[in-house]
Amino acid sequence: MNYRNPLLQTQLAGQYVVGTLRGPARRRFEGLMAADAALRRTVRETEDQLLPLVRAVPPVDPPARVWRQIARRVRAMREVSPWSWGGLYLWRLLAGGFAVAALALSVVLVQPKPAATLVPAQMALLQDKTQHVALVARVAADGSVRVSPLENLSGTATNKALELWAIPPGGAPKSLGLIAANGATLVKRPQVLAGAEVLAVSLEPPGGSPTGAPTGPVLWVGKLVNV
Amino acid sequence: MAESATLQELLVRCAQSDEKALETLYRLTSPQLFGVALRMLRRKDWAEEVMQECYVRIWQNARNYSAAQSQPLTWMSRIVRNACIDWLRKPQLEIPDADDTIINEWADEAPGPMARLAQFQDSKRIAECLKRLEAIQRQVIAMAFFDDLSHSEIAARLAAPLGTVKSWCRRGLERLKGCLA
Repeated sequence: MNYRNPLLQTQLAGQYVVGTLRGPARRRFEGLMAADAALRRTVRETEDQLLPLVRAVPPVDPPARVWRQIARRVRAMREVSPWSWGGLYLWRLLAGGFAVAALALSVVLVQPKPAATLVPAQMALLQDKTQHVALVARVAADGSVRVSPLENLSGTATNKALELWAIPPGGAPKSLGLIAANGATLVKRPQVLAGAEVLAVSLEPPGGSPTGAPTGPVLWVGKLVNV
Repeated sequence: MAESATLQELLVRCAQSDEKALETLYRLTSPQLFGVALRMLRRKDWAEEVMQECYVRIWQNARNYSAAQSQPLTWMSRIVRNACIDWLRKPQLEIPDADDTIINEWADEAPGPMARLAQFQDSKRIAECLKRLEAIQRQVIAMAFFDDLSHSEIAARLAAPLGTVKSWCRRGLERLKGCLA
């Protein structure tokens, strides 16, 4: 199928939004969206047109416990002050000896860093369009990501680079940097990752995408799930 | 439900980590979105779980919301619908059968849904355009959208050939989009 055909794109966008685009075809379409700004725009336009349909459903009040749970989770995500009881600096001081503590204190006072946003531990299986899983990404509670290829991907990436992307729902992909084709890569960019729903790897020129958005094909895509 | 401008402002305040704004946003939008999740998932416990997940996501992603791009309720509906679709695609999930509400409500002139759509500024237009579709086209689109049924599930429920259902759906969408454009 030629996904570049605008008529086909419009049709598929309609099916995607209404929900009749399913299974592998839906996942493939999501992968294409991740890589193609024009296609994302078409889908967004279709959503703007069709999603007001939700108003046809009679509203139902959710039970009070739903809000209580949301409020609890939102509170748990609040940034922890570095000096509060949950904060990093205090515990670092308590855990270290006095000499280490004094050193840490001086470093901390000279270079205060914002506390990392707490991210629940997540993982994603990155699949190609045949649903073959080629990489596993694990997100630690501090927002760092370890990406491990399950096979040697050097053949795919000959003279090219593999770039990892974090994609928030309805947003544009943000680069998490380049990853190794053979062997694990640790990525520490929690602020880029925050709020992402999907991870994707695209094939880029050596050195990575020159534009800040994926330019090559998106080879593997995976949804982040809480573990 | 509140106007788009109010919801937009609340989302902006959520982006600035204003938890009170999230609470107000929740009070204003959750009945509509819970109705949708309940319809799609058919189980109250699942719908509650998805709502929690979605409002946390809305909170985390509020800064990615752009009023220039979509209406706030559209943006939030997308998050809820996609979460429901993902939920329903979990392996080994025993999904209860859809009841006949949508088939019945959307048959013929679909007065109930049309009246609800006509009430709101952001859905008035789609109500008018839906009226220009054949009843069966409206019905299959509604079955797909609200009950998350596939073409073949719709064909089975309507006892119609699959190819016919596909073309009702495709032509209905084309006509709808043509009218809305």
